[in-house]
Amino acid sequence: MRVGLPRALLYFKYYPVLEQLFRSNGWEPVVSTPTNKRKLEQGLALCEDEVCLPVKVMMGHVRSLAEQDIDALFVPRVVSLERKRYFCPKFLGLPDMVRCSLGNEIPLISPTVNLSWSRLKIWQEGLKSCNCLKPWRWWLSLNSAARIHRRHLQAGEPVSPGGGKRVAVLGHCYNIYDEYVNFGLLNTLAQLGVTVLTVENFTREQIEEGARGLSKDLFWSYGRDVVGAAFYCLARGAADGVILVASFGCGPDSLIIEIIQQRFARFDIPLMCLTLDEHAADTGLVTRVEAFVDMLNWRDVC
Amino acid sequence: MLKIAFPHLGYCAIPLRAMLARLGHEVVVPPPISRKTIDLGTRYGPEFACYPLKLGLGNFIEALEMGADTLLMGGGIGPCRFGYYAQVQKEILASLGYKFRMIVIEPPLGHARQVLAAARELKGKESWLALAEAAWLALFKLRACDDIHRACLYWRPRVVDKTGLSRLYKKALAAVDRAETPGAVREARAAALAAMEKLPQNAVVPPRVALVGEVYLLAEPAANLYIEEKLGNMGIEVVRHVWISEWLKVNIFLDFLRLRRREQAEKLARPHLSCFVGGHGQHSVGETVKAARDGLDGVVHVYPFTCTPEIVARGIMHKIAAKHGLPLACFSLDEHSGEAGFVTRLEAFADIIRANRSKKEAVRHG
Repeated sequence: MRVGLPRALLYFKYYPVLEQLFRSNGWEPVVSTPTNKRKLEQGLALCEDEVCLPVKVMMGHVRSLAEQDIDALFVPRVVSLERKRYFCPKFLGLPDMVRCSLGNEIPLISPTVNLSWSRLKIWQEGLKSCNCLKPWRWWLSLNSAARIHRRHLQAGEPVSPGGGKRVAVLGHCYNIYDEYVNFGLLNTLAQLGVTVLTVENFTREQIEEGARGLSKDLFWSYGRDVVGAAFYCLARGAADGVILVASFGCGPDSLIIEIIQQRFARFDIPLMCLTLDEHAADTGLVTRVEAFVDMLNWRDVC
Repeated sequence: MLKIAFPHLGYCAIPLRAMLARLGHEVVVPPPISRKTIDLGTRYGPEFACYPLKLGLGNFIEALEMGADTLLMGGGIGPCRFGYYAQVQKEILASLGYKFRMIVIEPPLGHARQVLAAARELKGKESWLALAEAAWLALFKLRACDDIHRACLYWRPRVVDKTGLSRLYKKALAAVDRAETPGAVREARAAALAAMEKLPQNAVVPPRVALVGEVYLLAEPAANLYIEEKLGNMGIEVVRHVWISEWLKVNIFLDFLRLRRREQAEKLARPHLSCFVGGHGQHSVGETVKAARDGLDGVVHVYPFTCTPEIVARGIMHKIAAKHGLPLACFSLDEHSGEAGFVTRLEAFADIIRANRSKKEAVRHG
């Protein structure tokens, strides 16, 4: 069975696990090609205008997969990956949004992913929502999935081991690793000779340490990771500068950025916020990034 | 004794003031939301945070300028942003140099200890019995306000003298505000409802429109640009299912007692949006289905710009509305909303509804 896997949203963080889960259950993953202009335009045409950029991109990938020869499309409903912490409402409603704009063209495989459930319940949910799974094999692959993901997370090391200033580029994985959406931000930074750190380069303990500085624990997993990493940079001087990347209209980020800005205003580490949407142009973005890096380098001289 | 203030949410200042005054606090009711409130909120609030956060921030700044030293705010557990408002507002106000304390009331289920601590603080030197009594009076007033408002929505398209009704409504709320006992509240409510019924009416049966969306925008007329009044004055009856008193009953009390049942709107939404998406997203979808089923003439959806749950709902609502041939107008509002464009869109919507009506009537008679 050929199952479409959109190269968008959480794919960027979980692709090793997803591909493993697919293969061990006898599905052939058909991953969409990287984001391009056509995909974005298709996504824009399918979405409500106020939806955030990552979801528009996601819809574009869904559309382009729907045009290929696939038997089903994998769009999970990601509710929670940690206890008492959730994903943003768009992840919760994603399968409904996709079904709404695609109609019944292609069967959707949309299991509810809620890791605060017991493993048994997750297993049952998988069987219920993907009726093509073999119970025993699914149980085994579920067990190995966690191991693979842990190994994937431990592999984090600085993206470009340059010698220059350390810049933490913090944001959601689908904004940081989708080169079309952020105009190759990580490459631009690497060319400017800085060492880039992303959320994945911080260990769980470091993020927990940073997040302890919050007055109330955040209930969004990703937002909490970003805040934790940013606060850790402040507390331990782990980076010389921090760039926050957010998509326009992102609900959680609107508050998270404010919290981080308020905190950084009292300290000496430079902070820059980049807001992405479908109207962004690369020249303006590159200029801002260059100016930021120049400023970091000149701080030593002046 | 605290000099306590809270953000506005429609007429919720009436029950809140009654409760806090009963407990012997000095209540600083912030001035009604004005251009100044909006400007303050947008100047200091995060750029793409939602409108309720900015308006609440504006309320707080105005109240602090009036001498308040304690701010009362609600909390939450996500995934809607509201649960983190208080922390963000607190940081912003502190960075502006205000000295204050903030009491955040979290949902009781799972936060029993915090709620108890907040209640103890609000109670001050009074007894627990006094707190219960004050809360009871506040709930009574809230119910009465909701009833008066509901009646006003019903009568507005029907009465001839719309300004007279507005005057009556304001007077009725003031009477509820003045009432000292549940008995007096009941009398004020009954008097208001009777007086509204006596106003001269026109004979037409008005078209009915469901008003759905995010609760703050539904309940705060200054935020929704007085949409209920405008529709009513155009001769359209507004039907609303989200009421603050109902919301408190379901989401605070029943939830705490673990007696919360799935509401009708949630059940109706499930085939289209099968899980809770925070805020009132699922309700909006469910009420659109309900409006189509009950044969209403249209749906108006209001929500703050960038409100994620409602955006998720909106795409789905469009599909449902198109399927049932139900006119749907979506208004995403924030500080930039212009009155004139808003009125034009509402008038166009009203025209469509009236045209649909006469078409239906022609079919029935011809």
